[in-house]
Amino acid sequence: MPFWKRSSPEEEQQRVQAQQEAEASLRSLQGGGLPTQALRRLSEETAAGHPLFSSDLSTKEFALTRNQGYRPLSQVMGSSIYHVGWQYTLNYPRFTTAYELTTVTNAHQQAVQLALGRLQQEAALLKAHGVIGVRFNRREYEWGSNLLEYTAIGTAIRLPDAPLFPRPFLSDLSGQEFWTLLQAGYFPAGLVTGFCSYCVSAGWEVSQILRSWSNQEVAAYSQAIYTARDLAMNRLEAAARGLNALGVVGMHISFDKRENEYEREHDPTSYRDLFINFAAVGTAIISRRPDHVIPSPKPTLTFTDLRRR
Amino acid sequence: MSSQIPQQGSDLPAHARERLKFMRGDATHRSLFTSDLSVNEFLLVREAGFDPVGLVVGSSIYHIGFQFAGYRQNMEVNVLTQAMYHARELAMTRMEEEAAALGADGIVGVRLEVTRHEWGESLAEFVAIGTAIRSRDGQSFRNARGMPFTSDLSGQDFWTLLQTGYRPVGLVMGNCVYHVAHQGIGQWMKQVGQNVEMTNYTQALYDSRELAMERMQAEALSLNAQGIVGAQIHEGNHGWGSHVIEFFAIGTAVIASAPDHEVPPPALSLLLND
Repeated sequence: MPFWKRSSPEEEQQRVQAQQEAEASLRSLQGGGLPTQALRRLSEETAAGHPLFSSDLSTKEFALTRNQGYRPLSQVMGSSIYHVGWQYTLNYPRFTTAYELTTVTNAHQQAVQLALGRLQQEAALLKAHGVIGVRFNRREYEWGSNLLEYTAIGTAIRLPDAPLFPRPFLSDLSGQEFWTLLQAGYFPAGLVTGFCSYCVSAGWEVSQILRSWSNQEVAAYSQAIYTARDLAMNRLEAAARGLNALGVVGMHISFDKRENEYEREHDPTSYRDLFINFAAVGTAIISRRPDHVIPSPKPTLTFTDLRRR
Repeated sequence: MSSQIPQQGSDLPAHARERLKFMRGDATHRSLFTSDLSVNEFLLVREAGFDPVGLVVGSSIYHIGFQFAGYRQNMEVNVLTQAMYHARELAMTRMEEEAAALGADGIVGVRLEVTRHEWGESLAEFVAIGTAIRSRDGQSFRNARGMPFTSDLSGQDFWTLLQTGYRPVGLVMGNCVYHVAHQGIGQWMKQVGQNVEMTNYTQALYDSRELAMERMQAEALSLNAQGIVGAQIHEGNHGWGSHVIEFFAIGTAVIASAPDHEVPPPALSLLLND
């Protein structure tokens, strides 16, 4: 509708209704819940007894679901856009100092928890046993600095003749991985994550090493990378232990470093900060059967050159 | 001249009709097929009991309208949603008509692309392209609308799907163009320096993805489908500024073709390739 046209009373009413719905959605989201649009789609589907399944499984993944007897219910999703708060960093240090950027770490952890919580709520609404084939994404948007979005999109499935779990399991596994895991008698317990943002503000002794001509380890940096990895992995392990898991498989680890160099007026020294970001995502598994018979794979040589792909 | 202008979803340009007629073959011409299938895909499609009959395309150049959206309002931009949907549908319908003219049962490997040209600011070209196939044993695989089915499945995926006792009935899609509200000063003040979820942004993107998914599902239901496989959600910004985003959900609707869906368990194999 062009803006110079007057809206009719019906359109006005529609607009008011849309606005009320949006407000209800916002309230629900603030409590970590789902927006009304999602609630409506899922509850209508469940009420109608799933006349149609939708899935983001590829045809091959779908073929495997039929083979094991579990069936896809619907595509489900969870998303959260998060504003990362202000993080204090040390300026112009004399001695090398290493510290965790707790605000950033917590922002990642909370945003992921919100997104995964919503994914789980969507699956629970569908009375699903769990979610497979999760595509887990992090991205940043143009409109606003310090914004990050986590989105998890997957397919809710129902298992044959199994009672509903108190909470549907989440997994970061593809359809193929889930099938192989089930074959071997394991079962996903949940998606676990660990984050750590860490910073080293280099003091004079590190600067001297970096300027010198000799071969030498920058111990402060090695130490910081070790610590960051340790902290993140400890968090992931704690989450897995909380789920009574046997172990964690299908890990996706991202690790990036960024260096920031800055100077001060009337000061010949150049200061540098090393930022380390460590993120680990994996699926915690439990044992479903006492024996884990894994058929021995048959070695195959394909005539297709897979390196060119 | 008038016959060269494609009319709304009902007719094809004269050249297209001529090409399709020659491809079918008649008393003086031998039939010929074109396809964008790879060798392996071609063999699998043959193995599944189908013959490729020709590469088919549908295209539509569309003028996209304008709608005013409140600066501080999260809302769906209906005019743009409808434009993007209608234009895609026109391209898809024309592709289906080409396939129907070839006597095909369906189209595999459909790609749906949107391109913007420099010579028109609010113009966009929508192209659908795929390979039309025909069943060899004469069984009709057309969908509830009596048109050839469309699908974005590759030859490999198509073969696998038929093995599981399902067949495609159509490429289904849903979209939603959404305007994400700009943030007010008041809200900026509340969150400055803090770790908080941006619920208004979350709601906007969540809602628009849900709407796109719901519309895709409604389209599948209208084709009497039983499910959708390979659904994907694409996110696009077609030059409308950073606060207007399109979510586009697309997948292949399927229907059972056999009562049992027995799939032989695959053998585990370890590739010795590098």
